[in-house]
Amino acid sequence: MEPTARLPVDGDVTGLAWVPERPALFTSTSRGALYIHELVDQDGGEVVTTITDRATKFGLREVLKLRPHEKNAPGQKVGCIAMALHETNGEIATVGSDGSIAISGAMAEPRILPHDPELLSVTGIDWRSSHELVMSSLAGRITLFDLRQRSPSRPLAQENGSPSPLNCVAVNTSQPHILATGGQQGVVQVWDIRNSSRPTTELFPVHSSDVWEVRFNPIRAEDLVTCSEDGSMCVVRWQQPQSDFSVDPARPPLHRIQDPSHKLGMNSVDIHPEKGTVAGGGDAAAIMLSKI
Amino acid sequence: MLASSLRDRSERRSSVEVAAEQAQRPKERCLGLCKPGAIKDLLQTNRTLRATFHPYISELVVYPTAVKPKEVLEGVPGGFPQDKKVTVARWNAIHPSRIPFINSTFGLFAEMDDWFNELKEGKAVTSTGEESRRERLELRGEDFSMGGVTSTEREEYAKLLARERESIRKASAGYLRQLRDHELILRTNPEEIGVFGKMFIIWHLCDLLHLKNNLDRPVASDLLEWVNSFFESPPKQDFKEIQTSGRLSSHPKFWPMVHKCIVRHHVTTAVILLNKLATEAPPCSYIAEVLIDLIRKMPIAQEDMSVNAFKSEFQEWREEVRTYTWEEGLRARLQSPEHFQNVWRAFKLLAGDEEALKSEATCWQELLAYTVLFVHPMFSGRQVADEIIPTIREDSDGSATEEACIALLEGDFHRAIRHCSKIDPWLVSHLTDILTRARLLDDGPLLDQLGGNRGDRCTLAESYLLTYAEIVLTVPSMWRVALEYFARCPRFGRAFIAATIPHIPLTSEFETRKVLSFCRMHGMETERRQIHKAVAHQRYREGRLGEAVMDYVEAGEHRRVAAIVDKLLDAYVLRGDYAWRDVAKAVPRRALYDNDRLSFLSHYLNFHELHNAKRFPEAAEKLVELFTSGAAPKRFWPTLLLDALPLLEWKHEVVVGVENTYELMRCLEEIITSHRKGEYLALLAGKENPDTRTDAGAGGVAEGVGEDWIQKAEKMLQVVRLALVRNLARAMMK
Repeated sequence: MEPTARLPVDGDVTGLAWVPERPALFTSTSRGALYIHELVDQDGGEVVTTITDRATKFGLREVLKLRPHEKNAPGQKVGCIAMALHETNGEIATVGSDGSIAISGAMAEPRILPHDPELLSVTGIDWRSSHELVMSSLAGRITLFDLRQRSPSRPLAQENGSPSPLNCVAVNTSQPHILATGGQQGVVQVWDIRNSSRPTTELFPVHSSDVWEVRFNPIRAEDLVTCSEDGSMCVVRWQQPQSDFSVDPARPPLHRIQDPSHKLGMNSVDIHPEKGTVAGGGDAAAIMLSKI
Repeated sequence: MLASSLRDRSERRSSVEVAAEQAQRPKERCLGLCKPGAIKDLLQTNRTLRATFHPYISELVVYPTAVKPKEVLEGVPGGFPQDKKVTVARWNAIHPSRIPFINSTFGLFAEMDDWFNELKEGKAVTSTGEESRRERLELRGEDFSMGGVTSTEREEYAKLLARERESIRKASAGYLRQLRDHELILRTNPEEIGVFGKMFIIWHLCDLLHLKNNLDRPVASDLLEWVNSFFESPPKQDFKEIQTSGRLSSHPKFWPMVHKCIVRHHVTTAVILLNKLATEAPPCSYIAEVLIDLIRKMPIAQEDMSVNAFKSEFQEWREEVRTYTWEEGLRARLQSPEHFQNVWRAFKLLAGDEEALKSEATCWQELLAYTVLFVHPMFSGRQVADEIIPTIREDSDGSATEEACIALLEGDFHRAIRHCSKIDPWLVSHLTDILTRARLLDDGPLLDQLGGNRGDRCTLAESYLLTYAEIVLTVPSMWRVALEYFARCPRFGRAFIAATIPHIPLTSEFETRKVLSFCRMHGMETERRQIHKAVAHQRYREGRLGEAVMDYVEAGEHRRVAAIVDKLLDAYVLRGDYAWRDVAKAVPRRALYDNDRLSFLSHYLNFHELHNAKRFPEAAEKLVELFTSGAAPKRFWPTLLLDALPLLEWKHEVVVGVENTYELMRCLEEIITSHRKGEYLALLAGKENPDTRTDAGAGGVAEGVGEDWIQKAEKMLQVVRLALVRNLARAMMK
């Protein structure tokens, strides 16, 4: 396996997303930049429209570089902590290291959302619909954020006493009322938030340390891939979250992908829906691929 | 003759030493601060350069500075163009292309370490907690001849050793593969290739000789494999050239190639070549057939072979070789004497003629392998060390690699390690570690003969691993691997981690979470708190009080939390600032159990929510609870009493019951009659006083308020007293 294209960015990459219709890549960095790159052929000339399976070399050409959080704190270096792309309207929500939330698009100027006391130490963000965001925080909260309303944030009621800090959140691709979160204690939770005052949840204690990323399989939406600091990746199959906060006996993951000689944390994970390949990247500066 | 050879040796030595000296000389780097060689000019202008090292990253800060204070000097120009310049010099202690190797070998190391830890734990379990029995087993080590150890224990121990061996074998093979792979990847970097080549030679030899299962087995095939793996075999081009040429026997490279194939035991290549010869005219064809037969039949000692069987087989084969060698008329069958010489030589090699083998070998490593293969095929590693090494060790060129190889062949591991330490930190640390695990090196504390406290010293393996990890740490992105190595050092690992963590630059929010996660995983509680504290300070400076409070709670800084909450409450009373609400909402519920002041804040928020929702009876209960539980600070009591006014004066129904009214009255009296009345009322008084209203400081309020303002505040509370009395009457009537 060889890299087909490389691109230098300013800072550590904190988020990556492909634009669905055309081969363009959004990248957010820890130094506050948001890039849009186009995939071009190796000579840097023509924009590539279709990617074939043949291993050809590509280049990435910078189309746009934004600093979405700069307005909120001029002169300060505000990094992007997390990023989410809305696949239909192409809008990008980013969380700044100063706690602000910004919405950017390829066409429009970035706008900073009004400050909300609910949103503290936000760690993960995802779109539920074109006007609603969902965020996870280190305070252990899941907050829904409606862009149309005057007091936009709506915390999800949690009645299990002391929620543990959350590292990431993802919205189910086919059922937007299903969320998944990954926590500090290695627990993956799937939520049904149709009744936001009494959400139901299903717990999967599949990891032994921080869960850094969770993602739903875009085609088989009942499957979820996760990665963790313990160096493993898991595929979890959820059923309908039934009872509220009853801890099931430890449900084993559908697949656990772990190499015994790979002890360092996995920071990012994704699944190829058609090929059923799970890919993860981590602190060992290597990519782990596994067919499930 | 002897004298000249000695002189030769000394000359060769000296050239080696010169090369070594050059390699050790520090490399010069020009930072462009002044022209090369112009340091004298700098001194004349009263300037010199000073530098400071970074605590662990390979970085140096250089700046020009004055030699003597300006005031002391006369007539020296004061300014210097570069005075306001600080130069940061950075260099790579580790070549970037090596990072994948470091990462993957760490994985192998960690896997083996985990295996060993599991075995240790497993051993404790199988001996069902009988500590003394387990210790007895460990103390005895491999010596089972003494009484008192049952056969089951002996079996258990043998199994354990076998499992240890297995994991060592696996790890060693993994390291070897990594060394070989990375040698291929690094094609573009000659310096690194050189180091990897050396590491591979040494590791391979150690792996073949010492890390295999049976130490008494014959080593001939292993040594041959070692030599074949890195000393140039007969070149492929020559082979092709010979194959395509017409008449083989007259080709100048044909016989040398055959000889090489014989000593290297390349059976297939030799057979292909000789088969071609067999098609030529009769004398050649006959010779070729004989040689093919002999080469094919040559026995090589295998581990699982019985000694006697092999001995007789080898003897038989050797006899056969000799028969052919002395066969009458062999000379007569060949055309030219030159041709005969070549055939003669081939037979001599097969017969193990030492002179012939010596002239065939280009270096001592080859000679060693050939001698063991053809002369002493049954020799074990120990026999090789005792009988062959003394004769060839003079031929070593004195380089660290060759000396390390000889030391390994002799089984002198300490000397091998000493030489390895000159080659590369990776090699020495991992080799020492694996040799210690294989019980070939003493695993006691260093310098044990000095006596004293053993606990103050670590093992040799640990000291090398710590050094290696420190070198890895110089690459900023590799802190995680370095810390993992530290974490696997039992004696000083934790101390190293504790010293390192505060220096890891927390460049991004995710980096901070990663470091915290590491601290949690390894139970580094103090360091975890330190990081939370640093983050909290930063948040506080940025004015993000909610997050600051959360981090201060995690850091266990309850006084700071209380100070922030007090400041927020003061701002609320004095200026009606509702920032406290944001904080109260933000704080996670689990923090409330740890900190009284936060818990008060949360309950107070709850009271406000109930009040706003017009759930007055519940609000009243909550308010009284704030007093009775002692959660509310007394200087806030007057404000709480004023908060009670609307509840007491609620027209439609009695909200505050008799008991609760009594309680509120008690609180009111406690404030008014206290000798610290002034202190308690200061906050409320400050609210009325326009001068203090702008004063945000919490502590400043009490001192800044005059006596008359205190009296005014007391009058305000009289209103509460009236309301209480009225409410009591109403409540009693009910």
